[in-house]
Amino acid sequence: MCRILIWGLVLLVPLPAVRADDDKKADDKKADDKGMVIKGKLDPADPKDKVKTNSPHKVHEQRMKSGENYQIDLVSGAFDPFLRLEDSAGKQLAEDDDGGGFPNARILFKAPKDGTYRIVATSFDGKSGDYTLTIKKASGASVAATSAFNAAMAEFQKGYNPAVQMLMKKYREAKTDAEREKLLDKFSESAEKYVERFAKVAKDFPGQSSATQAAAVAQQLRFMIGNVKTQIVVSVGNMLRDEYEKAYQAKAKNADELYKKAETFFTEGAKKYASNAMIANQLKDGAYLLEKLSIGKLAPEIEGEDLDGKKFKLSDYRGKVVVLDFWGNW
Amino acid sequence: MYPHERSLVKRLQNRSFALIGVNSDRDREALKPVLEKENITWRSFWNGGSTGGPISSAWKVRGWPTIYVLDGSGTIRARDVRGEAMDRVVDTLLAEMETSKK
Repeated sequence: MCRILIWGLVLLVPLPAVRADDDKKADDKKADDKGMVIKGKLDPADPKDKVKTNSPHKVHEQRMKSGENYQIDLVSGAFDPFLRLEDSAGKQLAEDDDGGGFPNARILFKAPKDGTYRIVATSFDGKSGDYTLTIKKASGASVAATSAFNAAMAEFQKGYNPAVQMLMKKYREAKTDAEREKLLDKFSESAEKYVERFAKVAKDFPGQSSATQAAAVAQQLRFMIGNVKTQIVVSVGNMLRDEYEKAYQAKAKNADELYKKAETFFTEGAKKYASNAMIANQLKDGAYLLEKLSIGKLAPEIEGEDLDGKKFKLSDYRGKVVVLDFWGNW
Repeated sequence: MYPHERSLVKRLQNRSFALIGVNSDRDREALKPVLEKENITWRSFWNGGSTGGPISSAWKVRGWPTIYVLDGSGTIRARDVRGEAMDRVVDTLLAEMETSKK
């Protein structure tokens, strides 16, 4: 359940597709190169797992050969899959939550000896439902690709969010536009190294599913880096708008001056970032919000009908204090 | 949300105050029993059955609920206020309006 959240933007790693040719092998009890696919179901009444103690679990026993690499995938649309692997005596050998691409679980395992192993299908979130368990022999390249991908992901998770936080802080403290531009450029440059890390995994292991995932992550990261720039520019604009509104509410003398400052920021910014549609549009929105929907502005007229279909206008309520509440019964 | 709004509406029923909703539910008919059950007596604009409707778009609403407080002249005097903070703003504006009338 490890999510990477940057202002509501979730880095979604694509789910590994269960291939149709795997499905045809569902009755094949051998975990060969094509793999075997087991359709199973976690029932709320199933016994609780000993590690995920609030989650029901099912055990699938699987024979494995010494020295062979296996890839075990647990995929579900009903719950957040969690996989564990135990030896025949019930001693845990491996576990995974999201290694198969969020939220699916994947274990890559090299069997140390011939024998029966216990694959435990359970859920991270305590929920239950249908799942697909796939067990296949993994090539050395596949194992290497997965471990390279995991290493790149671990490095990214450790470094990226703190770097964003630091950038926000410095950007707000910066005194000049030139300084702010430099901070953004420096951030983009340093964040590029994560993109390159994933791009390299994609390039080094052609044909491997981890390489496909890495390419997708690299692409999403590029988008996120572009988006961080937007978010930061916009958040500074919002801060200026907030400062004006606070001054207006406090009837402070400098309210007009602060308004002008925010207005200039949005209009100049929209010009400056004209070539970057994402930032330019957000800044245009910011300018609109400042001009039409800020504290101290006349509320835009609303003409519409009520829930019974009767026409009315917001300005019908002039002379009253109005709380305007955008709501929904959800 | 509803209980707080209900008590605000009840408390200010004889004052120059109105709670106006902009409702973004999909189905107006399906909403009727909810209005009854929750005792939602205040009037709402119909946003056309979607959060992307014309009113919320013009007001660039991105989160629900979103609150604006307007004074008697129709000027926006507060936004993003909830609960007790919203009550305080409303009470202040009512007092301001009633003093200026005297």
